[in-house]
Amino acid sequence: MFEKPDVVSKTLRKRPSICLMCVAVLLMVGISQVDPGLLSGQSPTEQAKSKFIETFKLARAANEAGATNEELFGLARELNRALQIIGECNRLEQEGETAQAQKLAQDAISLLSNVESNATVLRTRSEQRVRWSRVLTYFVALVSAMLLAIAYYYGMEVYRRYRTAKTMSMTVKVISDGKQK
Amino acid sequence: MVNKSEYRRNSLTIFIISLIAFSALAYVTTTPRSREEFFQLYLLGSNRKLGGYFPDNNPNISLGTAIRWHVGVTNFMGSIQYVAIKFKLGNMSIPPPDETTLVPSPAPLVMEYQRVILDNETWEFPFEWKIVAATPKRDATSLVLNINGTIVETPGVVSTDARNFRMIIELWIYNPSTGTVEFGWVTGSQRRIAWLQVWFNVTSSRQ
Repeated sequence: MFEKPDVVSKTLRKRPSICLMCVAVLLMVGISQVDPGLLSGQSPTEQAKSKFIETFKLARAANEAGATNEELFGLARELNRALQIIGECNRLEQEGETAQAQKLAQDAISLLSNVESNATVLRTRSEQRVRWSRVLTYFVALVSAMLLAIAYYYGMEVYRRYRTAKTMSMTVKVISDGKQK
Repeated sequence: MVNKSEYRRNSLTIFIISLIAFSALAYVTTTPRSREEFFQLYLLGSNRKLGGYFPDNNPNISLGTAIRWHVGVTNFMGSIQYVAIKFKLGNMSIPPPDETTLVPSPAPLVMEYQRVILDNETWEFPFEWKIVAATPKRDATSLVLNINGTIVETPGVVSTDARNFRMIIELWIYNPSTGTVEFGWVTGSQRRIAWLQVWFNVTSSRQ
């Protein structure tokens, strides 16, 4: 049923391309599992700072998309909390307490991840709200113009009928010597 | 007498004119109005008023005298902003920020505070400091400060007879187009800066 191990190794020896592919796949899987911060050579505090900037950009994008101050208040509060933690990380790093600083930096990163997802949702929601409000405003403008035109048309129609009726009900009155007959 | 087809023509004209007018109105209401974008940076004394920056309004301060200021910044940029307030210790020879070239002061940084502030929001915080030590070096003096509980040494800033020191406060803003925190901010095509300074002398006893 199954090939013996020595047969397998012989087969692999005969086909080095298979071995190379396996090594490449293993390498790729390994790289994908490694923390991107480690690859870039950044310390956790530096990673937290980069993450903070990225998150702030998302909050700003949400603001530009139409998010109000009330909606952004929570995001700003969390961003300021992350800034405080990053400041604490800097202080601990300067004092040589690297382990503690790393732990705090990880806390800041996870906090910022939450803020990031909230900012993305807020941006999408704000964009949709602004788009719909714009569509609605232009729709109201169109309907108002139509109503005005219809009101004019039927108003004039009614007025015309009134004038016709009034004209048709006119009677001839003869005035002689200053007396009506 | 006006006939029906004339009414139709007139109502079509009214429809087109009112559609143009209402669309213009819709455009005005949905388009955000452009306004002047700026920051306001201010410094208040211990009573949160202009003046009273030193005890008895005497800028000759002795070692250990606690000084309390309130520093604030208001965001009028129309969007959320990431700001930093940098405190630098200068003397007579170290230049302040340059209003023409918009270059920050080369004085050494003694403290920095950062914050994300919303549009129309004011961020104000107390700034308490005192001179812990004044170290004489030949005919000059350098200072050791305690700022909000943190000890800061500034050996690079010396002054003859311990006179004419100044605390320089600079407003730095995150610029999304460059991706860095920069001195001042960009509005339209212009770059603006905001900074403050307070002069003081150091004495062995109150004068």
